[in-house]
Amino acid sequence: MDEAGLIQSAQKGDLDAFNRLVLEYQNMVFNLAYRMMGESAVAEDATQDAFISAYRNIRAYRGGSFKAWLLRITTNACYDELRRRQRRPTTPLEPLGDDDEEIESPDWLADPGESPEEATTRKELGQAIKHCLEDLPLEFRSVAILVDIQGLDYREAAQAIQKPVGTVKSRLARARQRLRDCLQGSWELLPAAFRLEEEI
Amino acid sequence: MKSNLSSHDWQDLSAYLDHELNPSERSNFEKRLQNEAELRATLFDLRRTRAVLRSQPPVRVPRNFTLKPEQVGLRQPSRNYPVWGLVSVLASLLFIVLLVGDLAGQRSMLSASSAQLMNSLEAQEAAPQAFESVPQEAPGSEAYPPPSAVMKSVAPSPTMEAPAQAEAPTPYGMGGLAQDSMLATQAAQSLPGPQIFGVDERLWRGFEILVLFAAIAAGLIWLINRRRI
Repeated sequence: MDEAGLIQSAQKGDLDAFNRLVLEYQNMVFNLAYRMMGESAVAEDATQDAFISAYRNIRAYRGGSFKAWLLRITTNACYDELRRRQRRPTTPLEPLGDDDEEIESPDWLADPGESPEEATTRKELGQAIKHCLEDLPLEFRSVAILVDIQGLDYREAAQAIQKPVGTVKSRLARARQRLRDCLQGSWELLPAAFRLEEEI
Repeated sequence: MKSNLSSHDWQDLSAYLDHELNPSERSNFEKRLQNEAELRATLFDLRRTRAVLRSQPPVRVPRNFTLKPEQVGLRQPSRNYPVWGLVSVLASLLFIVLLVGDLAGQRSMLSASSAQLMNSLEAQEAAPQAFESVPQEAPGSEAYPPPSAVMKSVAPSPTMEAPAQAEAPTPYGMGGLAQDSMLATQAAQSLPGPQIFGVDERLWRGFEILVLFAAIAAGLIWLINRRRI
């Protein structure tokens, strides 16, 4: 994919070129939104809003990491959505199972190659991480997701949140401190490799 | 358990984990790690926390997020969009053909008018000679061609023909001259108007204007549709 060429075409209003960028980055954007929002349906809305906003503002993109630029727009879209939801709280609707009970970890999140035990553990651990992330203040949450889940380095994360690298460093340290405290009770859910590993 | 670590220690631990300390900071921090058990234990916890977060599988995208034109304020092109372009081009071409035909028609009309003028002048010159050679024949005699026949032989143009014929001296008396003039006027009125390629000129012009308007209208519609896209 010629990313620079596609960006240039999109800046001239070529929607097809922009849609090729969407296909390339939609996984990353949706995952960030999902971790930020905690719900698939809300994350979908935030992702769609982020791409619409990105298309409308793509002329303002002046080079640098397109990924970081897109993640910044996504982060802002999530902030906007979360603020909206704080003003008008709603009850999340999880998909219903055969017994009409809500499924907190829908099937589409499941890895088809894992055993039932592994699937259960993964779901429980996923829920624990989700709750711990949701407990974090927004500014800590976004940095933890960008660096620890999305795998961005400090500079990319700084671009994505439009803050200095030093801010990323301090926010990440505080986010990890809180996450460690929150996950203390969930270590037994970890696979053996995580539990036994202790090194400097 | 209450931690004795400062926020600076936490930052160093986190940065050390991500290899974000410079070499001298890193060296100093590793010396501290060797001596401080709490720092070591916290580093282990942080590493585990980060590993747990990173172990999270990416969530599958539930659908594609590609944008539709209407989502970003672009209108879908009309279904007739290409048709209007084609109509515009065809109408423009037809207009050009008509214009060229018009010019060619006008040229042939001009040459026909010149020929008629020449014939008219010749007829004027021939008329007195005929009067002299047959002085006393009754009106309506077969020796003189009837005025209408003279009219037909001279010119189809009403503008050229009628005055020429009216002014030409005739062998008749005053009554004959008046009759001839009347006949000439009638003949001029009964003659067909100017034609372009066998089509009445007024009809031709009307068609031309219609085609011109069609070309402009189709072009405008096409342009408006194009701007919306």
